[in-house]
Amino acid sequence: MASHTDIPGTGRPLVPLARLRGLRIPPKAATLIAVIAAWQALAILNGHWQFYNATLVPSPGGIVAATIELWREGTLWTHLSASCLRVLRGMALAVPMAVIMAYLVATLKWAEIVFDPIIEFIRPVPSLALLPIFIVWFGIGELTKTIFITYSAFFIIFVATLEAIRDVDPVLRRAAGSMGMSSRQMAYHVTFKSVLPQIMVSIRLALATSWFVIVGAEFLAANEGLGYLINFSRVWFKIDTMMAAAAMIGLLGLASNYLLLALERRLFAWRER
Amino acid sequence: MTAQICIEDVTKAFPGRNGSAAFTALSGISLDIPANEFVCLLGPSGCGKSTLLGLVAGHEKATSGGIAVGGRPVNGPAAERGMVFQQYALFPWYTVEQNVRLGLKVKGLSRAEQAGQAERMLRAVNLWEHRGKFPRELSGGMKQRAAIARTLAIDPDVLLMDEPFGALDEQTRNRLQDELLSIWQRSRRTVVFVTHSVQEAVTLADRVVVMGRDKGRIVADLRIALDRPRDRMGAEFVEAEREVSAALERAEASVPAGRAA
Ligand SMILES: Nc1ncnc2c1ncn2[C@@H]1O[C@H](COP(=O)(O)OP(=O)(O)OP(=O)(O)O)[C@@H](O)[C@H]1O
Ligand SMILES: [Mg+2]
Repeated sequence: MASHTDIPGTGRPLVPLARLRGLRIPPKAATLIAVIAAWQALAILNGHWQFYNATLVPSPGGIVAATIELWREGTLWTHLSASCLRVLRGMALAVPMAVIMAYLVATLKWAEIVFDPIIEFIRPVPSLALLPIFIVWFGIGELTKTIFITYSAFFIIFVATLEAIRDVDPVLRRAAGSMGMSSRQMAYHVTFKSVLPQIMVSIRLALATSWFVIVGAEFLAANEGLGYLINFSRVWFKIDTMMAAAAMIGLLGLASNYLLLALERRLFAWRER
Repeated sequence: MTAQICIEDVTKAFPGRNGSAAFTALSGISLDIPANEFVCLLGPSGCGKSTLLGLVAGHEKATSGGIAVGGRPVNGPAAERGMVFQQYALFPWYTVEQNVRLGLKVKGLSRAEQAGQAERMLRAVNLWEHRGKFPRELSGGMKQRAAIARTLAIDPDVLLMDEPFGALDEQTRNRLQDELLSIWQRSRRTVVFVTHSVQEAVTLADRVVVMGRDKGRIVADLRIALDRPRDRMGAEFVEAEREVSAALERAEASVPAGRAA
């Protein structure tokens, strides 16, 4: 409706209105903003009537203040980058390992016989259950945390990729064969191209899981990181800092998810959606 | 003189599921096709036409008997035996042009040669303006033309086509038949073309081979000696159609394939 609003008599659109429309907030962001605003409103009401303990449930404003405090101390970046690097290192190992292993299991009979039962045996064991064992084996250094994230992400990507490879349209394989492709060319032009969307989705899922479990690892074995920050702040009863760290993890997860989604939309324009 | 395609006493049995008896789709099929002949394969649904084509393409192995193309026994698919599938089988992640160029790249042509050859083929099937589209953005007829261009660009000795125009409306189908014929007349090669349409067979073929329900047994092998271009309404054309139809009826009546004796 607004787009049809003209300056009377001239037929020219009302420029300010058009500009306002251009600034429209995406509905999904509006949802988040509304929730936070409601929470803040509740906190302000609570300031007058005290119907809950404000120390236990800090307001959004309090959480932002705690974040700024961390940033001023210079520790925000330390914790943030420590957690991010662990997740990235673990994923950087997990993705190629899972994809290559899935390809081997899907294409080589002996690889299926050797690896499939082992993988299916280990897969149901929660990674957090193995963390204490990893600590005993690899110490409490970065190696343990990298292996831990790799372990947590590997199975998600492996299973998705294996299923996707088994689902590749056999007619496309035949077409590729009749075009004279070698098995290496087929692996790239048919199998890899066909399963890439599912690999990307599984990376998104594995990344979410990684953010989920890195905090657990940092509770047990770390001197920095967002999980460490939460555990450490608990000792000092700084609930606003704990919540600031938790919100940070939420934001990181949300950002990585939307980043990958945007990448998928660019890469897979060929898909019918 | 040996034929371009030699099919000798071929049997194909598919193993049954969970130990049930094997299913014999083809039994004792022999067929010789000389170089540059355009052969149409006709027969009732399920008689084994796709199975036979798949054996010649090398996608499946014969249970017994032998197939040789160009004097060499077939084992596995190869670029000398191009295939056009009923399901188009275009790679959805590549554009029309990339699909066509891929076969040329695999063949080892230089980039310039790839581009030149792809352009020539895409212009021949009237897809040059649509070269940047992905398969999902094409109509059925356009997909089919893209698939034909992709296979023809590789310039295979033998062209295997499995009901390539089956899903198209009559106008598109007639036009594509004419396009295919003109391409074939410009650069002759051996074609084995599966169809359900008697008219299509008579329009295209030098020779029509009719398979029966009885394990694909060949019930008729007819020569269509009409001059091209053929008039689909002409008296001789209609007479040839009648002949092929009669053979098809005999094929329909023959005993079903498989376990039944
Ligand atoms: N992979 C397979 N496993 C088991 N049986 C098969 C397989 N492929 C084909 N058949 C059987 O072989 C017979 C011949 O099938 P084919 O696809 O060759 O028929 P067709 O002549 O191409 O039929 P249509 O005209 O309907 O395409 C059918 O009875 C079919 O059930
Ligand atoms: Mg068929």
